Amino acid sequence: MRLGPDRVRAPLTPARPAPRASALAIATVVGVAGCSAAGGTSGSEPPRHTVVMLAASSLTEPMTAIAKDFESSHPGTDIQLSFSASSTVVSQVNQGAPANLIALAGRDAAEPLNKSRIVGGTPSLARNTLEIATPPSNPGKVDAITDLSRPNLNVVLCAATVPCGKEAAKALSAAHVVAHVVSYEINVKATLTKVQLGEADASIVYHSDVVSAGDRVRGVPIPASVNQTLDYPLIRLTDDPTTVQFMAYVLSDKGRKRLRDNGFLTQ
Amino acid sequence: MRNVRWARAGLVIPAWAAIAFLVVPLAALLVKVDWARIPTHLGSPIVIPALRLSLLTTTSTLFICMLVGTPLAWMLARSTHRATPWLRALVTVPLVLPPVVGGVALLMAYGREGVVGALVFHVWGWSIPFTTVAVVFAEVFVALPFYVLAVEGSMRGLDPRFDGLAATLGASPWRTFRTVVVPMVAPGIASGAALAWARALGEFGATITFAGSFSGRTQTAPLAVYFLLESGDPQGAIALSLVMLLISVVILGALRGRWLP
Amino acid sequence: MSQTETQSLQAEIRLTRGLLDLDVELYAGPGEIVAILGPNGSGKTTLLHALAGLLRLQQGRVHIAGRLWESPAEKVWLPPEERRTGLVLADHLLFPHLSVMDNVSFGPRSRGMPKALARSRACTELEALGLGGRSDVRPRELSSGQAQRVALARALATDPDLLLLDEPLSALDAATRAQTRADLGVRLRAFPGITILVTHDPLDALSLADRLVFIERGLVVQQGTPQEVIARPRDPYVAQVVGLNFLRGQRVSDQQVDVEGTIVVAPEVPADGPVCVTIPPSAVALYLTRPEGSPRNTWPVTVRDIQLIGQTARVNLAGPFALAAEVTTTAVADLRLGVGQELWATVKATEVRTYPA
Repeated sequence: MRLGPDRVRAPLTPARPAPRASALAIATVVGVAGCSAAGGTSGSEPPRHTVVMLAASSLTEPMTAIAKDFESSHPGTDIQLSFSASSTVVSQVNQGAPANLIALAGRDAAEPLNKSRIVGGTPSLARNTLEIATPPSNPGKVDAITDLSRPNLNVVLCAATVPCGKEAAKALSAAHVVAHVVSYEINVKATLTKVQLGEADASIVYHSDVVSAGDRVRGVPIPASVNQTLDYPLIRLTDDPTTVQFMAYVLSDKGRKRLRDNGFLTQ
Repeated sequence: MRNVRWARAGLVIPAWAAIAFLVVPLAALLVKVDWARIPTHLGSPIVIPALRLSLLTTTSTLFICMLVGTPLAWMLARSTHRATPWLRALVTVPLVLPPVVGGVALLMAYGREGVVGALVFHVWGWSIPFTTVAVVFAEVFVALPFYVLAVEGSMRGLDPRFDGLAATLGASPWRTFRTVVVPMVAPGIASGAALAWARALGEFGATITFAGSFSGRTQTAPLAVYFLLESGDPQGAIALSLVMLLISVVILGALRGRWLP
Repeated sequence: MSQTETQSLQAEIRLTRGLLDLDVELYAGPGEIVAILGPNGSGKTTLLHALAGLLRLQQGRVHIAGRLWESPAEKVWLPPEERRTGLVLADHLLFPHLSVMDNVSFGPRSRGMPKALARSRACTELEALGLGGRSDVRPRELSSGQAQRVALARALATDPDLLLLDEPLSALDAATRAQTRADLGVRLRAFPGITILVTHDPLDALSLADRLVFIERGLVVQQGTPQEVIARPRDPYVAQVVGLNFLRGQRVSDQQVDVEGTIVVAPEVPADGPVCVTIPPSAVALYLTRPEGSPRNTWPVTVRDIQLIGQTARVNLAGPFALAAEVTTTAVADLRLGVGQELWATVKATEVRTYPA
């Protein structure tokens, strides 16, 4: 089950021998919770029925639900989820973090991934578009993307190094808007939090985030002419049967329904 | 003779293990850095603003800590009121609080919708988050307990008869504080200042939560290191970390030479 | 009393501190040196702190040199920095971060004197105590005797009306103490203000003070000039300080006093009532066997302990009452004195003094 952003609940031994000690160091830096539900084994693979998945923050709600569905319909399995910015996921995997499955926001995010770790194809999990989010009371009176350039507005965006940030920059540039940004956050959920707390007047997040936040944020659509669409690749890193099974489940109708319920676009 | 040696071995071995544990990662940093391309890495546009901002905010934080922390330490050291131990415990809470939680707490208090911040925004139109002031808030929140505890310890060690003696010589309480107490606890103040400054320099969680991250305004050096790491530039992150390490060593080294007798 | 109204110091101190209830009236004339003696915990230091303003009175008043310093009833309280007191403690407590000169000029400077004037005032004080040449050193470079003299100079540099000394010599070793006591005596006699000297040491009191005040458990038990006190102690502690054997009894006749069931023969026992009896230890003679002849004060005693002080020995005896005898060390050897030994003690009647209690 998921624990929250930036925490990896890893089995006691890595999926394959870590090539460098820095792999574990990175995992530790990001915040290992220190316990393992799977229990350690002396083998170099995680126990057969555990799947470790690292996914982009925007997938938090749907993947958590999908994992729960899978665990209850497949007793004896344990899906361990960790959510962070796609760039963080990629850099962790490159450093040797033990993961079976990853999902990233946008094909661009997969570029720096060490290709030798990929097993099999990289089907598309879902698509996402951008949307402006404001606090429910809309203190900044933001109703269109062009409003974001007003000088006394607190606009918060994702950092340029994360997919959400990159795409937002593309959308703003396409709309010829220079937003009055006051902060670049480390992932899309942190961005959303600032809006929910009322500290930010507006931010650009994913449509799925606006949907899953419900009535805690108010969404302002971005015109299709400037909006960006991201394709979320689902990438498998190991060959074990449980991972294959889980991946198939995610891509099945049941999985896709969960994704749509949370604002993602699916085939 | 033999017994003494064995006894010493008992203490010396864990001590050296501790030293090794601390020193090896620092040495690893030095070993792993790409020395030849450091100037390039440091040339990233976020580096210089981050360093400048860090030095500015940590200096302000230190100044504030000394200004309000010294009287607080004096009060805790000399007060015999029953509530004083509770007050002391309260002051140390930020020490045990995870910094991110501290950041959330600061938002709840001083954010635009916060308990105090909403009033400030309503009356003066100022919003504290996302400003350099917010960075100082976050740094003071985490660094002040370090300063107060170090200085208070030093002040408690000060013989209270000195205060009375100075009074009989005609010194007002303020004059006594200024000319007798503070000079006599100067080593404690120096070490408290060093601790507080170092803590403020390394502060990350509360800063990013309360002040956000914007180059030149709120992106301090630790935040820049994290962003460099995240943008796939680990060498840049290491290079900036080394610069921070160098600055710390130089400043703490200079302080040590001057203040300790 | 009209006599006390002309006194420079008129203090009635009543306060409770912990388990101690202090209730003391203290009077002193200008330039007088008053020694306060008493066992530990009797309230001597509390008394000094109250006079300095470091403790507040519950009742009473402190009036010095024509100014009212404190009176709870009249809601007057001068904080310590506004009283003109100088304080010297057993530990010199010189400010370690300041030089000797800065220490001594601290007081004048705190009271607003310009730096140059304060330094010259400090110089005068230091020279008066023979420390003129050491004004630029730090306290840690001074010997204990020198440091204590600097502490005195520091207190005197503010020209206090009241100088308070709390066991100023007790932290010094014997040789330094003797020399410092001498220097202290010279300086105090030249000091125009009132000196209150708290001490344990009878020698301090007897050699330095004009008047002695004995305090036990927060109350004054006796006061007077050294001569008066030495002649007529009225309290066991006081007698111990002046080194006399002290007994209390009832008059039986012109020449007899009943002390705890034993008759003591003395000349001119005062008429009626309770009587104080003192016997100098040197008047107590010791014999191995009961002596023949005139002394009518002869008692069987047992040796409790023996202390050698130079050429004399002080022998504490148990008998019909406690007695101390002073004999030569030769006598100790001759008599083969040892603890538990049974002896006979005699005192000539003419050596016994009696006076009303």
